[in-house]
Amino acid sequence: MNQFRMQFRRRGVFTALIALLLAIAIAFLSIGLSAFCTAREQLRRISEQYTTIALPPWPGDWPQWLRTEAWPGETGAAIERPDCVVEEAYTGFLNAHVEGCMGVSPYELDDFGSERFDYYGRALMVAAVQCTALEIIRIPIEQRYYDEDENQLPSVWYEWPVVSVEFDTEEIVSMFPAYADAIPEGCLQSVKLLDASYPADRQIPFEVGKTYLLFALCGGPVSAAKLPFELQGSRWRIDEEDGISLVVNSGNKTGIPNNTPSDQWENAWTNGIFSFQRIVAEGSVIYECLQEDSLPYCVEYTGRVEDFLHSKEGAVWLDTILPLCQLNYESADVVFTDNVDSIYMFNSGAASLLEGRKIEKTEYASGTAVCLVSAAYAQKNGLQLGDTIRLDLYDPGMIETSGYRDSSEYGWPTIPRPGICRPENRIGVQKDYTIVGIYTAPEFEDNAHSFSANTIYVPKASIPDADSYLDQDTAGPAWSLYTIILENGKTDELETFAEERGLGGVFTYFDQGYSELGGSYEAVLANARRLLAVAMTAFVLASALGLFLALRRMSAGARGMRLLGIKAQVVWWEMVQTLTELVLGAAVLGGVLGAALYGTVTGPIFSDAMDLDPVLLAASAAGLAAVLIAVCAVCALSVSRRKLMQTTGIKRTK
Amino acid sequence: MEQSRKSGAALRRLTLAVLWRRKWASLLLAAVAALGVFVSVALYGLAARQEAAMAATQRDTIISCVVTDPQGTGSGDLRMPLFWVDKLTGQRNTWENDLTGTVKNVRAKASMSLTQPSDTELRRILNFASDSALAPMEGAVIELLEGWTEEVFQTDARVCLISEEIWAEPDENGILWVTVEADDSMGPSALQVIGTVSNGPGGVIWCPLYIQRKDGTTENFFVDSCSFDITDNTRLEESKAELYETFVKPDRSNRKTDSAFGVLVQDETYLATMEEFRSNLSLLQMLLPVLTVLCGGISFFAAYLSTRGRVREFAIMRSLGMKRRRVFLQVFEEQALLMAAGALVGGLAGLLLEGGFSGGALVRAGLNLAVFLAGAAAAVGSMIQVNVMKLMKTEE
Repeated sequence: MNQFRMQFRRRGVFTALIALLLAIAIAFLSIGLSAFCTAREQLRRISEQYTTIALPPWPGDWPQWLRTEAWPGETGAAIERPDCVVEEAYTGFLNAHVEGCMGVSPYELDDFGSERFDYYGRALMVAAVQCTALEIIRIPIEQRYYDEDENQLPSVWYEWPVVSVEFDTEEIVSMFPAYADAIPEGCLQSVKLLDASYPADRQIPFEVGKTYLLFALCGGPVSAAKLPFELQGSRWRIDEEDGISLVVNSGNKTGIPNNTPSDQWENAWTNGIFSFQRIVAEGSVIYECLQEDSLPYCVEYTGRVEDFLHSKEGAVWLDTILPLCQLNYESADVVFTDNVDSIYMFNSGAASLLEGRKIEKTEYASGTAVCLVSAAYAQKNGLQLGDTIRLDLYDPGMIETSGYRDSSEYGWPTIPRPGICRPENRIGVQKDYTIVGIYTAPEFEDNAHSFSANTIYVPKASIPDADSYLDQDTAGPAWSLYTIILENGKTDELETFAEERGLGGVFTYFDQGYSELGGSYEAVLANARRLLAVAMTAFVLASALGLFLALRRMSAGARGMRLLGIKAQVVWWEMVQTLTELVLGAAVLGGVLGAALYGTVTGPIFSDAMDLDPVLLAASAAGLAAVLIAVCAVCALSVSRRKLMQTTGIKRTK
Repeated sequence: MEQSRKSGAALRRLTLAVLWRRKWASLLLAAVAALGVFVSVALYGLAARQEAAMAATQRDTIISCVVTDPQGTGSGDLRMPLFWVDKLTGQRNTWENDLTGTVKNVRAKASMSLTQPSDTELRRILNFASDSALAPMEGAVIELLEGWTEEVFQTDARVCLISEEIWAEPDENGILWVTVEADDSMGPSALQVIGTVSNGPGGVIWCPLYIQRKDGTTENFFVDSCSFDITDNTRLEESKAELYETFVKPDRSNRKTDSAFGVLVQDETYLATMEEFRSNLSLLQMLLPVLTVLCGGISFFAAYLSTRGRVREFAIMRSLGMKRRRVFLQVFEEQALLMAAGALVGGLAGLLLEGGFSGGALVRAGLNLAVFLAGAAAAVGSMIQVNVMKLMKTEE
């Protein structure tokens, strides 16, 4: 028979009150702990809504710069990457054939000045034409040479024959459908080709009066200029009689070579459609010839176009070129990422959701086939949230759109645009993606960090072996696809790191407004901590008082038992048993009380996601009970082993 | 009288002796009283602090709005007549009721081809942020000549920034000028060059959006892009309502017309964040009374239990002839002393933590102490009602 249990039972009111005191202390701390956990969870959710990024100012080996003492591109001793850097994100850039969906062209927005956004895919065109005029323009090119002391040596002069041809249109065989609507009818009646491209045999392929099939890039109306408000009747001044321009060697519309003629001569290159070779013939004449294995850009034909296409000579046009055009008309850019908010457009607010939602964390992790499409793209193709689009992925690489920005100092930036989809660069991944969000953004902007309205954003993990399609050369055209993701609120740390290395102020930071939250964030965190501290103090004091009173009540009994010869260990054990029962009862009562109070308070405030976690509450109550029992055991030890003959503290009276 | 005074002094000595004899219990009780005051002060400050921080966040957060076409399909090629921007900036007095009180930091860009210099484009901007091509991360470096600031772009001054490669003509005073001509009836006009843009777009001249023409008027033209920020986030809903009186809410089911434009208010993250903060504040505000009551409960039970344990002591006092009232007053005095000591310590701790007391905190602390005393009083009240002889017998 446990004496203490009997004693406690006999004094039921006292026992109940002690239990109630302990229960209140446990409930207090449980509530404090729950509030602390809730606040932490809330702050985590708030923080998750924000992504802080740092964008490097120019192409360079920034990953190496973060890890070594040297400047980008130089070698230096290895250092630790700053702690504030959470991740270095490389945005992936692919292209896809989207079955049944056409891309958006700037022409549809009456923007004839931005035809470069259609290069190359949507600009592909096949036209049956009759040559009406032909002229060879021989452009002199001076090549300067310098000696070791940089004194100019006598120049060498070259000749660059550019072919200027005019055609009457017989038939448009293939053209991006939106062009036919946007380009005035009269414009399509004539075609101008000003180009330095030659067939492999370096012979001029055109003759006045003959008919040809031309395969080239449509450069839009030859003469088009944006007009001021007063002339808004025609938003663009287009001289229809000038016709449309065609380009074979893209990015080179005016016919001036991209490269300074030097040791880069006699090189070979491709723009994804044609393969070229630069040849210097007759000592001083520069030709840009198609390579033997390149697709043709023109062929002479007679009779009906249809008949020619079905002839042996027309096979490459019917079987390769025309399907290639259609494939690219239905293509779109695909950006794959682990977080769209790490991309400048979304982070800065240049792009924002019009409908639906962004891709969720779990979808990034699992590689769920979901995507975001632009409102312009969705509107054109009648796409709605929840629709699925089939993406057949291609890896055509990026093209460098040069010549639209002044590249005088650093030779940048190039604007990331996809190359052309060809059967050779199909990666063999075909997937149905569900549209979960429709965003709005400037449709076409000439910025290195801007993507066009034809961009579809997908989770990186949804593309098998996605890393192999990442261009991680941050010193090259892909520099603008590299982002340093920082811990929220830690931009200062990277800036200090950059300043110490002489690059202060060069990074641009975007944090979606997180820095403006600072005060509230800190207040919630500080309050949660303070609440927990107060609750712990209350728990400690109330428990101490409760246990003190209980033990004091037990001490007389313990002494009596010891005087009767019962071993201290037995006394201790009986005390611990009784106190454990008391504490467990209090813990259950406190847990229930805490849960009831906290649940009542939080119920109307939070959604299900923030509901009280019963496991957490039970665990905290159990933990507190364990602590109390341990304290009881220690205290009971001193009470049960109390010396029976008091030798100190006795005041002797005379 | 004298006897009463002497017995009062003796009782007081007795009280102190009792408190000292029960020093651990006394200390704990005082600590509980201190806790009551401290919790009242500390908890009361929490909500106030969080409210202040939220107000600061609400004030400082920038909520951007982007003008789109009515369907929201694009925001970069709006072809929006300038008088829509007038409504936002209040310039040119085009509108009776403009939105200058509702929005701030208006950014707008308009571009047009120039026939002179050839192959160049004129971009009219309200500030550098109006043209994303001028952003630092695009590599653009803007260098303004001495004495000029970005603010000039909000005026109608005939000045411009030019791409580095554009040729500017110096006059006899060394001031640089560039002559521009668009394909309109106004003919060429000269703009003073106030700076250059390197590593930005080539062949571009930037001038103020409201630049005057030669005849002193500001022409109308189409604006390509426009965005702005909400002035006062505390009245976000009213601001949105005001905006939607002029602009439409972008929706793909809207008809696309040249006379309507949408505004996309980028407030989702802000609203979600403020909702989290608000719910946390609500939680705090609702938890504080609960915790205060629990704290009161602790005080009550602490006082009650510690007093109740002294029933035998009270019985002896009663059997020695002490009146109930006297016993009650003596115990009450004990508790009051402990409470005062605790309140002092708790108050000091609260003062250190909060740096001051608010009226509300003091009221709560007072209530807590009252509960503490009530606990003691209830215990003594019930103890002194017991039958002394019976109690002594039971104790035997």
